[in-house]
Amino acid sequence: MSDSPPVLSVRGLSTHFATARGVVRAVEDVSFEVGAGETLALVGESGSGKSVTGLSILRLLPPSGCVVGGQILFRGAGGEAIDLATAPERSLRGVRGAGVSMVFQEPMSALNPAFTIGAQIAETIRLHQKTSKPEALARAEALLAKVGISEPARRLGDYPHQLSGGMRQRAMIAMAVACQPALLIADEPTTALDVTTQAQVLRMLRALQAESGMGLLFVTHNLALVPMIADRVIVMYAGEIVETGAAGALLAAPKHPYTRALLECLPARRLPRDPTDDRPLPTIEGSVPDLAHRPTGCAFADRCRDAELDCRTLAPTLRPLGDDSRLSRCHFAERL
Amino acid sequence: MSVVEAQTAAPLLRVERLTTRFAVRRGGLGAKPAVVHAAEDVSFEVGPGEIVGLIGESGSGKSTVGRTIVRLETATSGQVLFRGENVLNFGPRDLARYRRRVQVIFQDPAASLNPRMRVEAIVAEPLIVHRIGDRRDRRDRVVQLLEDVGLKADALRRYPHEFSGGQRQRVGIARALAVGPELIVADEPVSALDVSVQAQVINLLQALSRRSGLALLFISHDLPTVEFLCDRVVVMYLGRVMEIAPAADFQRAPLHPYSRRLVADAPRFGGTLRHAAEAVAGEVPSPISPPSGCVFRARCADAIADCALTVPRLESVTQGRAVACIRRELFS
Repeated sequence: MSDSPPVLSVRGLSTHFATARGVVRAVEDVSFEVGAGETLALVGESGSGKSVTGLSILRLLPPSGCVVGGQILFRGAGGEAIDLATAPERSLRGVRGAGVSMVFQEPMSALNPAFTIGAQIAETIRLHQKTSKPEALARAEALLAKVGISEPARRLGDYPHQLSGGMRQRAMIAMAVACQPALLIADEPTTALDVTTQAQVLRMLRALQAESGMGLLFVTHNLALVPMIADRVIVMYAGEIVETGAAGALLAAPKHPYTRALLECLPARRLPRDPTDDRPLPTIEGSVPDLAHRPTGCAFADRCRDAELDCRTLAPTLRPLGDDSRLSRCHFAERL
Repeated sequence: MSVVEAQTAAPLLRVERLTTRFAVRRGGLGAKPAVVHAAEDVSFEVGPGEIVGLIGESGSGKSTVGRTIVRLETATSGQVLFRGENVLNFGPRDLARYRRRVQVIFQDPAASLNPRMRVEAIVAEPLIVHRIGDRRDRRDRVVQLLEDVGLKADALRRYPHEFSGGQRQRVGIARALAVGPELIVADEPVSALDVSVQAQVINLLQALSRRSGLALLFISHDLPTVEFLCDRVVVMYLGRVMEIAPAADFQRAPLHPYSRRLVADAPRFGGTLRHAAEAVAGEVPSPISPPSGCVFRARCADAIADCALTVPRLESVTQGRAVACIRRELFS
């Protein structure tokens, strides 16, 4: 990271949900930073809290969810930091779509089916900046070209249903970056896309980032995408960060049993296949603990093959491991 | 000799020049219905006990081929031979017999299990439909099936919503296994599951195949999973077969330009994003008006003028390996 202060600095974020089963602690004491021009991947399986973390930043949670603690310091173009966790709704509205933007897995749910792509992008621009309609449309056309949509002038008049899945996601990204946000949160942006389209969209995101210097928080369940897009990575499990570090180093030598297990169960790790090796894929037995009743010790202990007695009673803290920027929430991280 | 044959002598399933088209209505009332060329001239085989991966992106026609094989879609032309008999000509009685031998599992187990039935009834239903065993036998058989797929007997009394996604998929597999099929068509069976649960289901399918000689047609868009699990791969693009190869050869060197792009773009460890020039350009064309000649030519960096003239035939290049590309000498 550069010397300049981070675009986003999350400290001790906790997000809880009120449910019939009790209070679900979906995100617990999560801290991280995203620098300008940096990509941070937030990785986890379903129920890990990765998406809730992303939604918490812009306070886009469903009514049952609430940020109950921590700071979300965002530093936009002005240089003034604003705490999104406590900022009034009014000032949040000025940040959403302008300073911080978000794209989702399914662009169809974020695009309005009754308006053309051009009208929607132009509206976003005019909402945050004083621009005439024709000028906003001209900028929308340039944005479509930038995200790799061919014949952008013609596409401006298309409705979302007239576009393919890949093009819709590109249009969604064009809208998200229309006001040059300092931070883009992308929640599984390529999960619904084909692999060849996915590669195109990832490449396009990197190019946009190189040009604008925006920070990128890339939320995904797919560890295999991390080396393609991210500088640093956070692995989440049961609402907590279990490991974080530089992307390459972390994937090469995980220092938390969950990260290690997650990597081991990928078929890609066993390729090219050795015909004499007929061992099954390693799996992670058991299931994620109920977040309404967190275990007292390590949340992963019940599924960890290296767990010891202490692990079930003593909750490990996220601690630095001496070298580089690595942190691990495991009593026995050094053994791995 | 056919170029698409299974590794064993007598194939279990032989798909021959299968074509499935759908009529769709476009535009307003009175508009001429358009034809979707979902699967065109598809040929391949599955041997007894063999695991064949049918890989392709959305719109490739892979699911249509699977659904046509189990007669959930109606073929336009071609043949589906199961142990030498043409499945497409089966009447109701033959079809019922066929469905004891060929079963199907789907991507979303939540949508394919009746939410109002207990697991016991779900897994026993095919036994009742096919009049297998009496009530007591059936109960024992259901318990055994649940055990085979790694579920405890207490699952019997529970409803689908009480299970996790991976467990529900196991219930779906137990139901498919109930009638003792020789072939299971599995359409994206792990795509909706978490990574750690995917591994469990992949292991289960592999163990079932090894243990009981069950053949699998594994339909997937995920290249690493197919390469890990399957004996052979069939690559489809826009309704047509581009390449057929033993999985080991395919991993070493995919031949068809589309296969090579697919391999290059699949997320892999140690790999980084390739330069734009090396990537597949553009979007998959519409199956309503597929390009003339080779359907991949519009996105192919190696296309020449001749590629637009004729549809390339699937031709044998080496033992058990076939490619549909007029420039195949360039790549082999």
